[in-house]
Amino acid sequence: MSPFVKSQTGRIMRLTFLFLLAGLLQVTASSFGQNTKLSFELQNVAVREVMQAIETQSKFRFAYSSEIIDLERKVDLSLKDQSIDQTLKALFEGSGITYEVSDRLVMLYGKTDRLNAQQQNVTMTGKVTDSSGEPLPGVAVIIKGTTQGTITDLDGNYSISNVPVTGTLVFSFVGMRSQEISVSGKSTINVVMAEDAIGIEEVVAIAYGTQKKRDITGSVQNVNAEELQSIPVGQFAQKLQGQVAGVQINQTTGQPGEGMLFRIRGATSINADNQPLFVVDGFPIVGGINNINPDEIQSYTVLKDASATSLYGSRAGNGVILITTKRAKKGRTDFNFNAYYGVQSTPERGRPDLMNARQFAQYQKEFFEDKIRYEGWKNADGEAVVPVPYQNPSQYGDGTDWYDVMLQTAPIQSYSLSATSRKDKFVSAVVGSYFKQDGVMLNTSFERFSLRGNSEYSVNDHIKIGFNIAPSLQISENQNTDGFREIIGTAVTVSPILSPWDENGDLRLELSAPNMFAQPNWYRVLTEQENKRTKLHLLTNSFLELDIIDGLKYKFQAGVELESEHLKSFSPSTVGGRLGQAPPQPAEGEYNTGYYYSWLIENILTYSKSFDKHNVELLAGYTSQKYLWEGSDLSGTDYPDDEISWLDAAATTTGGSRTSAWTMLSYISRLNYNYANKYYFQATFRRDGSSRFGANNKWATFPSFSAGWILSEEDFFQNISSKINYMKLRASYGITGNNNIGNYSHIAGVAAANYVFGGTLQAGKALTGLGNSELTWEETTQFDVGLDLGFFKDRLFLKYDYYRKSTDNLLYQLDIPMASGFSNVQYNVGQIDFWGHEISLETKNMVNDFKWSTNINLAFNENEVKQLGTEDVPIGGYDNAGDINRLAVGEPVGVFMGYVYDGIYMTEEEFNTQPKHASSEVGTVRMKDISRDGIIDEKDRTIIGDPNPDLVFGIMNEFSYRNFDLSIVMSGVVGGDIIARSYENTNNLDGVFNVETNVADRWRSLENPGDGIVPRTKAGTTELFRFNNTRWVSDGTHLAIKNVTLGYTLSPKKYIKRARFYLSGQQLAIITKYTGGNPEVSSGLNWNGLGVDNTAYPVPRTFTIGCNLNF
Amino acid sequence: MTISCSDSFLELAPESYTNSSGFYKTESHFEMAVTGTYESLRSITNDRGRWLLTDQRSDNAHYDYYAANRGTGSAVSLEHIADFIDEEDNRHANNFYYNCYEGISRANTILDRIEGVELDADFEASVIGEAKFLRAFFYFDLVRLYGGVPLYLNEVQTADEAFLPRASVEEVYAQIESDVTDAISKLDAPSFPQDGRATQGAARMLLAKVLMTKPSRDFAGAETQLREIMKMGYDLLPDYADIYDPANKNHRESIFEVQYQEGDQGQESNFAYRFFPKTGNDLLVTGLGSNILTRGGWNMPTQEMVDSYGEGDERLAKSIAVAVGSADGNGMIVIEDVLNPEDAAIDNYQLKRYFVKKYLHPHSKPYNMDENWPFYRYADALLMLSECLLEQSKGDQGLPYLNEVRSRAGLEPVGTLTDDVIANERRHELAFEAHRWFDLLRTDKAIEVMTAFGERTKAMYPYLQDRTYDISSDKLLYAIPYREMQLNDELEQNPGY
Repeated sequence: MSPFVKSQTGRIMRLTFLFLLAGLLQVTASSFGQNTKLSFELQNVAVREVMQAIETQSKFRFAYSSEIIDLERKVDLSLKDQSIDQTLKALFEGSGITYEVSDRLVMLYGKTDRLNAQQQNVTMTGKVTDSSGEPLPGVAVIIKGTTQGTITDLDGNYSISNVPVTGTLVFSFVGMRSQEISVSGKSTINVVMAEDAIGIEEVVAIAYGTQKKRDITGSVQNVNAEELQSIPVGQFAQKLQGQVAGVQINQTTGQPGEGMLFRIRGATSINADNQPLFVVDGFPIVGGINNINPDEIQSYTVLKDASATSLYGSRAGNGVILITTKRAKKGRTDFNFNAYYGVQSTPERGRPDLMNARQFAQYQKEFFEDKIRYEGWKNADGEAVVPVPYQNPSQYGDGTDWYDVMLQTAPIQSYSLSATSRKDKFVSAVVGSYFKQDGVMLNTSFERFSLRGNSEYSVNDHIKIGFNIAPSLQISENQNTDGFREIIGTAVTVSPILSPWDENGDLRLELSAPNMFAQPNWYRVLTEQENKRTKLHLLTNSFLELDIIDGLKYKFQAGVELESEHLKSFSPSTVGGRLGQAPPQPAEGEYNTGYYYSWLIENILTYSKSFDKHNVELLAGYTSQKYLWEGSDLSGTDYPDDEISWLDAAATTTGGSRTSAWTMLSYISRLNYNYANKYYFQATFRRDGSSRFGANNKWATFPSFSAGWILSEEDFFQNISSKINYMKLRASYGITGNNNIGNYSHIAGVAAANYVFGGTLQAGKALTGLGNSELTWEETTQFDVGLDLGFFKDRLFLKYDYYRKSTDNLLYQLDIPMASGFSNVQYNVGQIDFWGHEISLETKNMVNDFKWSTNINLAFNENEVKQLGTEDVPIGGYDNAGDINRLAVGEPVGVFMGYVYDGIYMTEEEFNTQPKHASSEVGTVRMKDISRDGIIDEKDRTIIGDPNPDLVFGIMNEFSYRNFDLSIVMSGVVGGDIIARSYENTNNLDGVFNVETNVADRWRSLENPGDGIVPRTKAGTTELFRFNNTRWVSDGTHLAIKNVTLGYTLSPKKYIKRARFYLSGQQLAIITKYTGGNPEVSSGLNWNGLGVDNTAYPVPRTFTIGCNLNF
Repeated sequence: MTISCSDSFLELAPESYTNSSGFYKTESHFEMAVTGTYESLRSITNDRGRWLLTDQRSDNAHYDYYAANRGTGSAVSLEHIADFIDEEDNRHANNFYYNCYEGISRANTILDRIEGVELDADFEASVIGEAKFLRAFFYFDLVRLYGGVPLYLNEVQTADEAFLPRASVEEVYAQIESDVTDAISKLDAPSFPQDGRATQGAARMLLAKVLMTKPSRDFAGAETQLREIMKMGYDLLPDYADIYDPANKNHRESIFEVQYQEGDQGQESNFAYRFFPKTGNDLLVTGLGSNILTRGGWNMPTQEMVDSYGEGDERLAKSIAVAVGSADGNGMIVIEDVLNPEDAAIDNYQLKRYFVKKYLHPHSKPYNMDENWPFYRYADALLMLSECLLEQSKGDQGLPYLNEVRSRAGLEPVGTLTDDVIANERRHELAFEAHRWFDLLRTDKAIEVMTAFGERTKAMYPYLQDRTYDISSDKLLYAIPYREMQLNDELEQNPGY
């Protein structure tokens, strides 16, 4: 990366901060001055007209009673650059009218009225619209300080009488920012309500219900999906990246439709899953939800602490993400069409830096020269000569860039049409969409057809019913591109001298070169393999809501999630084989199917009651859920040729089928209490019974408690409330669980172990593991304190949380000596502690014509393994190669194990005086003798990296000016090591792979010792350099410019209400020291694989053009 | 829904596979459990199995060096075993240890669980007999290759029970003797045709070997067992090649062999593919034409092994073939013909690769063969009996047994029995059947023979580093696996690792 880019970014960040400060300062300054100058040249005009002219020229507004002021009196007025005082004096001189100017308000009094002015009442009318000019019905309009009020009608109009002329009207509407407007003598007040993104009055989804943000006592963060609309990606997780403090979302691979992993508050388990629970419209989803159409989503709520999550009990340990799908807005019918088309490509940065053909031939030439010199090597004819293709390197140019050969520039497109309507007793939202992403690697793609219909009917005032149905079809084609020595990792190691095509332009079948493995033509493997996955997913949900008596509600909800998945794969004879095994290989085909359903039934009673200043809300419920999966695999071999890929063409087919299920019963309850909207208390309680756990531990209880105190409601706070308008302290404590441990882990399985006697197959069986009837949930106790602060009417909103959680009873695969017949047994013994700080800051830096808002979120997460099994024996990290991550008591989860690279033995003297490995010679790699026993062996392996980031952050900036809008989303991490396992191949010194360009400077002899970094190539000495070591570890700190979008909005009024067009760039740039392409790479976000780059599909950079049309 | 029915709602057991709670209850369960224990015999012999730790370690074989394949993967760790530079994390040496214990654990579970289950007495005796025979069989391999290993004699049901210290070599042998003695009393003598199950003959053979191998050798005891075997109806097959022909599985000469079956039922053998030369196309060897560059090239007869066969020994051409041809870009063979090792035409080719052909018979899919792996044969019993007699200074009585074996091979009888004569005969008769290394160990010849072999081999192959073939007594045992050492504080590593 060039230093230029780096310093530029630094400057941008400093500027951002300055702007932020400037924005804050501006808020405190009074924006209206008394020194406005007015000019008039009017003849014979009515007083009314003059007053209108004044209102037009200035920001002054008149307040008066028409009964006492003769508005039709004709006057002449000729003034130039006069103050308001002088103007009024000229206008009313001799009329008996007196006036008073207060700020921008001009109050007019008749002779006798002045003393009674305070009591004067008027009737106010007006129209309330939303930001797009659409009327808003149902908006509450209340005279401040009274209970008197009305609501707007279907056209957004209101009329309210008996309003004191000095009074103030309060306009409020769910999801909109409340506004207070002083009457100031006006008779008409039209209000444009703005949607309330950060306002504390906003109502958000929580576990089993909704709550106003101000009333929430847990750690909950809400994201409005509309703000993410123009991020051109297929998975909502890509949109959420960097949006929420404490939620680390990694895109570990660029495979279309794949690779998004979540980790909330660093959650990690040993064997169980780390993914949060996803709940769509109240339905806890079983399967992957990544590929739900993002346009169906209205908002996301991330539940982080125990008080927010524990109503999900044994599934809440990793946090919960609630997804609320589209609902119609009140009284409106909208048709929206969203579309974008983009072009994706692979950035240059982060591609492997390997030798070109000329460099590689030179390297091979030297390799053989050294082999002849040191090993007495001779070819099969007994001659000591360098193989012919390498004798004359200068004959070659750049050759084949095998990485580039596999890439393409690929389109991405999305079209989505929605109709939302709320009329009378019927509310409906329908969204249909099509999304297609071709991959930047050849022969990969993802396609999705989806539909969602949400409807609600109010049968009468007491009964409401609703139905949601969301079918989708996903078709993806992804090859085995990712992973150590899969297609990408292996293809790049092929000799750059070789080409995928032969002299005639035909595709080669086999790639072979002297001293290298014969292998398939990876271009063909990528392009000719078939691996098509089809998923049909259906989510349905129905509910019935009854208002039994005032405040008491019953809700019945039932839903079904269904998914059917088919995988058809075929490897023609031209692509079979791997490293060292060239085609032709027999063709192979597979056809695997699986389907699952999960049904859920919920019965929930809620009761809410307010008396005096006591507000109480109670919830009690009972739910049951069942999941069942069935699947079969078929595989075929002995195909006559490559023409027909279906198994019918295979002479031999084999297959099997299997099933798996779980069930769960739960009781839930919650109490919310607040006194005077100041003091809050919440208690929740869930009891879960699950089929997944041992007979002795079927049931468990998950309680939580939390409390909040809104200091800004206190009297003592009022004198600073103009600056700090909102301040809340929160604290919570609770227990959640993680039941993602497999369906039958507590039962020892008995598997087939057949054998032949007398030529006949006999069924045999053997235990496959040890059972454990005590097996139970992983239990996370979590403590959280938080502070919410709103400054200057929420222009600046700060949220801070400190949490500390301890996951105990970790489901632990206790490794036991294999001499017992088993490698491990499942135990609930282990503990990991997590703690951290989360800060999110939302500011509206500029609010006038030029609008600018910023959202910054930071999460500092730490963790430490406290206990592992009964003996604290470390898990993982035992092998020299591969097995990298380790769990060890006293360390963060998933640290890297390996050798500490210490250069090479450059001289005889160094070799003779320093610790050695059994294979060491002069010129070979030296690892640090950690055990200080003078010998380098596996005892010298130590912790060489920590994949856990110190800080995960996101920064969003949104600007708008007139019709333009601009948003910039950045995200990144500080700390968190990455280990690039691909170096095991690209630093291989046996001459069998293409290697990094720096291998050219290796040690060759005492006279020609190279740069002291890369050792010699002598056979038998090279293996140690390929073991996991510190040279492969790099700091994963990075800042990614995830998305920049520039939009322009038109309001043509005719046919189209609103049209926005935008240009967007996704994954624009990454600033990092890590040399690989994607610093978010990780082989999963489980401890094992954390931070390990096993080679992954590149994450593309995408430029898009799109539109949002509203009819 | 109420609580009472909720409990059944929450009780789910796997439906598509058996689970332990309902197993080990009936006769058929125990029959399946015993069958499952035999299955572990396949684990220790197939692919990179028993031959690797024995024949590949011995002077019978070297390997086809593939310079390109230096991966951290398996190839190098296979070479390490042959070159005597294996360390405690050698995955193949480790896997063999694990696979033996897998069989032991299956036998232990049967022996524990059969107590208290009402079964037919004869059936129960045969189950116990087979389980004990198999347990003894696995422990015998372990004690010879790893020394005094932990003695697991009961089903491990909790983690605590999984951590045991090593027993002494003597303790392991005592347990083996006790098990096999009990097995002899419970197993029936063989009836022909045999079906591959352990018989009293196999158990007596095992006991005889144990008695000849344990630290305090008991040749007289072994003689007793072998003489019992003489009475059981075994006989040499007239043609040496027929021993290995899958058409003759469990023949009259077979005392115990691992059962394999070609096909799609997962019962096939593939170890023989490890023995074919590393080549891009094996058509002339197997008739199928696969690329076995990374698969093949192991356990390859050395030139001196080929030369050591006596003039006219029919066993040479029935055990070993030679692939001849030219070199590909990596110096690996492109096979142009497959010849008899005595064929003079060999010299017309650029490259030659001897390979084990005993286990090569026509088959229809790569890596899917019908070949059984022989453990015990009657010829072995005859040679063992000669040896026992010689060791008891009754060499004259032993001579006919040895000559019976020689005569089948088309060789003249020898007149005097010596240690060398027996060793040489065993080397050829039982070539590549995983006996040579055990014989070298048993006769205390391993260090001497292998050091000399190492010197000759290193002189031939410059790729062998100085540290190879540095054979001390430490190298007569493999290391206890690294993983076991890390996990189990009570274990002590063998010296030298």
